[in-house]
Amino acid sequence: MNGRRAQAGVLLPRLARTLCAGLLWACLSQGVESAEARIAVAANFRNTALVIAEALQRVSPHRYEIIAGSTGKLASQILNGAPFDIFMAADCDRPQQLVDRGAAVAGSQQIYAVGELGLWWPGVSGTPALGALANLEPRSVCIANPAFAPYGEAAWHSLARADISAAWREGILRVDNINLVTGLVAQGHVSAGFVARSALISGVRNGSLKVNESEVLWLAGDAALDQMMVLLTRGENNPAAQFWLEQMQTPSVRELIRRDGYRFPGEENDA
Amino acid sequence: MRNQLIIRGCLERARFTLDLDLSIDLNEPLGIMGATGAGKTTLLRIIAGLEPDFTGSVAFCGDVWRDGMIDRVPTHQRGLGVAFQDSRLLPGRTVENNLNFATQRAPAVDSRLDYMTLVEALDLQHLLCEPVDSLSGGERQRVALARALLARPRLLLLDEPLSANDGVHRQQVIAHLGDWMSAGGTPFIYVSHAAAELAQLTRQVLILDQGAVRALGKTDTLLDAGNVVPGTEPSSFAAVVVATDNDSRTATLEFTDVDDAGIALNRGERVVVCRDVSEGSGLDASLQPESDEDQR
Amino acid sequence: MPDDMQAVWLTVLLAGVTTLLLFPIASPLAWWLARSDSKGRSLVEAVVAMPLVLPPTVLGFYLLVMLNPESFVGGLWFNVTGESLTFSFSGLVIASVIYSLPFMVQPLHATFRAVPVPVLEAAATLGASPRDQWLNVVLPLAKRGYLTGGVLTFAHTVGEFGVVLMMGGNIPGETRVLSIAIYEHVETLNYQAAHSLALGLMCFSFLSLWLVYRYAGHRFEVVR
Repeated sequence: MNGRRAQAGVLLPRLARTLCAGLLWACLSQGVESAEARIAVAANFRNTALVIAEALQRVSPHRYEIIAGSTGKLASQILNGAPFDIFMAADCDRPQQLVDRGAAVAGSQQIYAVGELGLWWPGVSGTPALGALANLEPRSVCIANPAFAPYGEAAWHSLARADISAAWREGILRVDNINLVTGLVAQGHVSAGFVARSALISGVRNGSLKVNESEVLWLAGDAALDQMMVLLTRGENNPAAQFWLEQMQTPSVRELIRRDGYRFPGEENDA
Repeated sequence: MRNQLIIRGCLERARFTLDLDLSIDLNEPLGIMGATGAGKTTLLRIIAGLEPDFTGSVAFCGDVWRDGMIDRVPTHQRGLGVAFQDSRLLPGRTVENNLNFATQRAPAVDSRLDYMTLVEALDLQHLLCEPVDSLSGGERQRVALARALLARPRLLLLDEPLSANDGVHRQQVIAHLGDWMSAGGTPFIYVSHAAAELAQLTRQVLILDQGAVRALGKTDTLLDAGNVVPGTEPSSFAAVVVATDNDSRTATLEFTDVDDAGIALNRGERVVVCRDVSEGSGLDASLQPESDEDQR
Repeated sequence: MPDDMQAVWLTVLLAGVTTLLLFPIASPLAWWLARSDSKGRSLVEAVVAMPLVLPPTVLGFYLLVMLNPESFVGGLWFNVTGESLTFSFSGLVIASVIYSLPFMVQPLHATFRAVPVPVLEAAATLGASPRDQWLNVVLPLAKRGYLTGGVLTFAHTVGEFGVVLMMGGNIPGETRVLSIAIYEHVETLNYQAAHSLALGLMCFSFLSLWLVYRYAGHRFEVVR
C-alpha cells in the first residue's frame, strides 16, 4: 500500500513534466510551418539567388530550390504548368504577361533589382566602343538570344542605336542565356560579348574571372534592366514563398543583391 | 455413342476440297491411308481443332466439339494426345522436360502405362537428359509418341509416328502399341503409308484420295493380299538371287524374310527386277502388281 | 556533388520505371503484330516506329501541348492530383514510355515471330490453354527478346534529352535527369562536373551492355 503511493508520487510529476515539455514544443513549432519553395530565376541572377537561399535557409526552417534559365524560357515553362512558386525575371514584361494570363498573383509584382549591361572586350585596342565592333567578324561577338533573354534584347537594341548595320547584326552569335556569354568571352571562344554586370562582379569575387576594367564598356544609361519578380499562383499559400517575398525587402538581402553589382530603383550607379 | 466420332463438313485446300460425312465407331482402332497430299493430316487436324477454316461439325462421344465455324470445345480441352509427323517437340528443352509438359497437364487417371514403363519400351531412357534439339529424327518421333501417350488422352491421334525410325525400332514400338491399345482401350487413329503397320494395329481403315473418302471398311478386307491401295508403300522383303536368265532378263529370287504380316507368295512367282543383279547377291525386293488385273 | 547524385538516382528511377511499364505494355502489342494478318497491321507498325525517326523535339512539343494543364489530358490529371503533368516526373514517365516504345516492341515482335506455330499447336493438343501456352511455351522461348528489349529500353531512356528539355525542364528531384544535368554544367561552364557525369555515364553504359551480353546473353541461348 505504501509502495504504491510512493510509486505514484514519483510517476505523476514525471508525467506532468513530459506533458508540459510536449505542449511547449507544440506551441513553439506551431508558429513556424516549414515549407519548400521553388524559385525560378533569370540566369543572370542565379549566383545571387543561391547566396540568398543559403542565407534564408540558415535563419528559417524553409527550403529553397533555385532553378535558373533565360527569362523567356522560364515564362514559357510556367505557362505550360511548370511547378514554380516565385518567378524572378530579368525584365518587367514577362511577369506582367503571367499576371495577365492568370498564372501569377496580381499585385505581387516588385522590382527586386536593376541590372546593368556591359560590353566586355578583352584585348581591345583603346577604349571599347560599340561602333568599333563593326570591325570584328560578327561571329566573334556574342549576346544572349534576344528572343528570350532580356539582356540579349537590350544588347540588340544597343547595337541598333549605335548604327551598326542590320546585316552585321544578323551574323552575331546568339547563345541561350546571359551566363554563357560571360564564359565564352572569358575562355576566349569569342572576342567580345554583352554581359551582365553581376556576372563580372561575382566572377571576380570568387576568383573565376579576371577582368580588366578598361576592357568593359558599361551601358547603364539606356541599357539598365528593371528586373521584376512576381508570386505565382502555385505558390500563393506557400509560407516559404511568402517568406522569400518579404525578405527581399529587408536591408540584409538588399545588401547581398547590391554586392553583386545591382542597383535599386531610383538609385544612381556609383561604380 | 461411346467412342463415336462424327465429322461432317468441308474444307477447301489449294489442291483439293476435303469433303467429309463420317460417323465412325472408334471402339476399334482406325487407320487412315492415302497418297501424299490426299488430306490425311488435314483430317487429323480437323479432329484436333487446328483448322479454323473448316465448316461443319465434329463430335466425339456425344460431345459437340465444333459446330459450323465455331469451336464449342477448344483444342486444349478435347483430351487429345497427338503425335505429329514432324514431332513438334518443345525446343531448347530436354526430353524429360517435354514429357513432363504432358504429364503436368494430363488428367489424373490410373494407367498401367506408367512413366518408366513407357520410356523404356520406347527406348528413351538413355535420352532423358538430352536436349531435344540434338536428337535424331527417329528419336524425336519416339519422344513425341511417348509425350502423346503420357497426356492420358481420350482420343489418340498418330500421324505417321514412326516414319523416321529404322525397321528394328518400328517393329518394337508397333508391338508395344498393339499390346497397350488392345488392353487399354484408348480409341486411336493411326495414319500411315505402311500397310504392314496398319494391318497389325488397326481393325478398320479409311482410305482418302484427293480429299474424298474412297473407302471405309475392315482392315483385313481392304488390305487384302495384292489389293492395290493408292499411296501404299510397297512392302519390302529381303531376298537372295538364286538364278538369272539373261535372255528373258529375269531372275529367280528366294525370299528369306517373309513375316506374318506379309503377302502369300507362290514359289517361282515371277518378279521384274529393276536393276542388274548377279547370282548369289542379296537384295531388298519391293513387290507391286503391275496393274489391277494382276491381283492374285 | 549531392545534386548530381540526385540526378543519377532520378535517371535510374526513370529508366527503371519506364522499362518495367513497357514490359506489359509492349508484350500484347508485339504478340498481336507477330500473329495477326489483319490489314491494319502495317499501320500499327508504322505508328509504333514513329519515335524512332521523329526528332525528339517534335515528340516533346506535342507532349507539352497534350499534357498541359490547360489541355484535356493534362487538365484531368490536374483536377485529380492538383499537379501539372508537364515538368513533373510522372509526365516524364509518360513521355519516356512513348519515346522508348519501339525499343521494346521491335525486339519482342521479332522474337515472337520466331516462335513456331506448330509447337504452339502441339502444346494445345497436350492440354495447354492459350494463357498456358503463353506462359510456358512462348515466354521461355522469348527470354532473349525480353533481355534485348529491356536493355535497349533502359539505355535509350537514360539517353533521353530533347523530350525532357521540351516538357521536363530542369527541376531538381523531378526532371533534372543526367542528360539535363550535363547540359546545365556545360551551360554554366562547369566542365569538370560535366566531365565526371558524362564519362561516368559512358562507362556505366558500356559496362552494363558488356556484362549483359557476356553472361545473360549466353545463358539464354538455345541449348545446342
